[in-house]
Amino acid sequence: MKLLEVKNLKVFFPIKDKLFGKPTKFVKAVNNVSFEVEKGEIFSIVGESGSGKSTIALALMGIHERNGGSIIFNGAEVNQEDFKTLRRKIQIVFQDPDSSLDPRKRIKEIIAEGLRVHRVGDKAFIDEKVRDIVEKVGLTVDTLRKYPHELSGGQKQRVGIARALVLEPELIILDEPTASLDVSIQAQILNLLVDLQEALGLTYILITHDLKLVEHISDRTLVMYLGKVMEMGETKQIMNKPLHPYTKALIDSVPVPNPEKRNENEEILTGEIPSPLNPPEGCPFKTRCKYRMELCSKEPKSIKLENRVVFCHLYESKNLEV
Amino acid sequence: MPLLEVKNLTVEFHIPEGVLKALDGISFMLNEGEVLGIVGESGSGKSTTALSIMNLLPAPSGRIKEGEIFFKGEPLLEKIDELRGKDISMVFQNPLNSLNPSLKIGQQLMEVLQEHMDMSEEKAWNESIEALRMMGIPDPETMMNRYPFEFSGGMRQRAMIAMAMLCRPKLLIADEPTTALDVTIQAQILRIFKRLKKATQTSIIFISHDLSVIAQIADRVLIMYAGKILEISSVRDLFKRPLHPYTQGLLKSIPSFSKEKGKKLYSIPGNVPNLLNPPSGCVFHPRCPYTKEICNLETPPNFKVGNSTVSCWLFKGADVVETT
Ligand SMILES: Nc1ncnc2c1ncn2[C@@H]1O[C@H](COP(=O)(O)OP(=O)(O)OP(=O)(O)O)[C@@H](O)[C@H]1O
Ligand SMILES: Nc1ncnc2c1ncn2[C@@H]1O[C@H](COP(=O)(O)OP(=O)(O)OP(=O)(O)O)[C@@H](O)[C@H]1O
Ligand SMILES: [Mg+2]
Ligand SMILES: [Mg+2]
Repeated sequence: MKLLEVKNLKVFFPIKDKLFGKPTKFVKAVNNVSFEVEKGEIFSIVGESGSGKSTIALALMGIHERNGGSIIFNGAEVNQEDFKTLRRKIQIVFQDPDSSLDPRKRIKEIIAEGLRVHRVGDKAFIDEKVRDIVEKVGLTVDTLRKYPHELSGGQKQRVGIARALVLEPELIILDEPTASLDVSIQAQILNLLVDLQEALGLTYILITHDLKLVEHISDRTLVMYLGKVMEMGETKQIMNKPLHPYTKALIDSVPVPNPEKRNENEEILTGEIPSPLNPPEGCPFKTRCKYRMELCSKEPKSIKLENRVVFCHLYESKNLEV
Repeated sequence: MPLLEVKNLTVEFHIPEGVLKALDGISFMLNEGEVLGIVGESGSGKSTTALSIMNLLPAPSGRIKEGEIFFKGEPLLEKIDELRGKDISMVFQNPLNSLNPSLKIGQQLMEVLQEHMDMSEEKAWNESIEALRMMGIPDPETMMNRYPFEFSGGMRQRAMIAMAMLCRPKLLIADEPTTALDVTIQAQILRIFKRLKKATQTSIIFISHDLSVIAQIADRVLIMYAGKILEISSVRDLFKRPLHPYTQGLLKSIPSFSKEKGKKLYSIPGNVPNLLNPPSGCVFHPRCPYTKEICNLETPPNFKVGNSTVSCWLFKGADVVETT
């Protein structure tokens, strides 16, 4: 069953002219992005820095206003004014627990805040609920009296997860949930997320740079580049046989944890990500793509192929194999 | 003779909360032409090791309490001011802090050459361009006249490596040179290091918290944890048969190595210790699946196992490596 449908989502940020304060240019941070998330799955969004992953997340939370497109949650169209009530159903866990937890508040207040805002139950109910949730995320009840600075990075991220969970959301967006944590703590947090998902029937959107993690944990994957979708489909298929040249380059860039597999002359992607203020016309990847053709200056269409969606002119005629 | 030898190095930070032992008697050496990887989690002492060699510990809080460092067999710290930037150079963890924002890249490169190599302006200009070209910076002539803020993160990192390599150092220390970069850019920078390794005799200390990156570049690897070296192995041995339980845990928690059921990952229980109040005995014992009584009583020595050394009581009975 579909929990979330996103159709042609657009989020543009105006860049103000210094002199007159008028927006003269736009960063098209998310430009025509469509995807669907099934109930109970882990849906990954991958792509390099600036590709628009966090902007999608914040648009789904109603924090960034859309410039176009529609969001359908549980079958109902969501308008900007609906987000207040929807907040309970969609929650987010941020990358950096340090900047997302208010340093002046005790952990108890931080976790309870959402319940208060949404006026869920009386004080006794809230206390009970908060105690219950901290234990679920593997913290002890005495943590509730502490302030964020008294906790380790991993403990802070557990608080972030507890805060999201306490409202019993259906969808949790995880924006780089382990990127700021130590390697040995990352696995603890991921296992906690997997356990909670199974126990509570949650749906996750996982935003990350870490393709090894995506391959291990997620069901389907969306690959983004400069605000646009490159490829989307089942994670296994994408990792085993990427169709889009960008997806392939991304996978090939991941260092292999095996000293026997070193190659000084492997093909790697050259060049840099173009400025988002001045993205290439047509396919945004064309400046770094070795299959570049004249056609690539035109907007690629969405092509359904091998159980996937891919935006690449190579497959329009389908007589070229990558 | 090894190029670099670190013996029993202990470094402390004196902070308001007390004395923090960032390095606790570490010893290792580096051969000529070798790439030594240093792996460890945040706060394990990787940067402190690098800064101690460069004699750039933040004053007055950071102090070398004990130990010696030898470069080509001679005490290093007496001579480091002459060698720094010439025979020994470093690429810092944060590239933004180490380029001068108000000087053009070209000027910064040329200054290094003019200062250390006594080069004419024209020669320094040409050499600088060549150095940028070697790092794969397109159109280096134009880029010489640009300021650091006009460079992307990946370009800045290349410029930093170019600068560090200008005087053909004997030793290059690279502290997390790819961590802040996107994977496609990381792959480009890693390739530059692979090529440097082939084309020059420069010895490299390559610091990273990412074992996969280390697998791609290092000849030998140091595993650090809470200010100690737990294991030193060749990169092949390390991945084939990690000795220390901590190394084993780190390897098992790489997603593609996971043997757990379904979506679970192997995880090392517990937390990284607080260095103001480190555990007794072996620093890893509170998190170790094999802890025995002796582990919280006595610090294990470095045992020699094959060509590796490992600091773990599981190997009691093996020869002990002495450091004097
Ligand atoms: N509030 C904002 N105002 C202006 N531009 C913005 C704003 N937020 C994001 N951007 C721009 O939008 C683009 C997409 O940013 P976004 O943060 O979504 O990327 P991301 O994929 O999450 O990257 P990262 O992996 O670095 O977190 C970038 O070019 C960014 O600079
Ligand atoms: N200037 C300083 N003042 C006080 N303590 C410091 C200072 N620099 C480092 N430390 C402490 O010394 C220990 C080792 O730090 P170091 O920077 O060497 O770790 P690292 O392994 O490089 O970590 P990272 O992966 O985060 O870069 C840590 O506990 C750290 O908090
Ligand atoms: Mg982001
Ligand atoms: Mg460091």
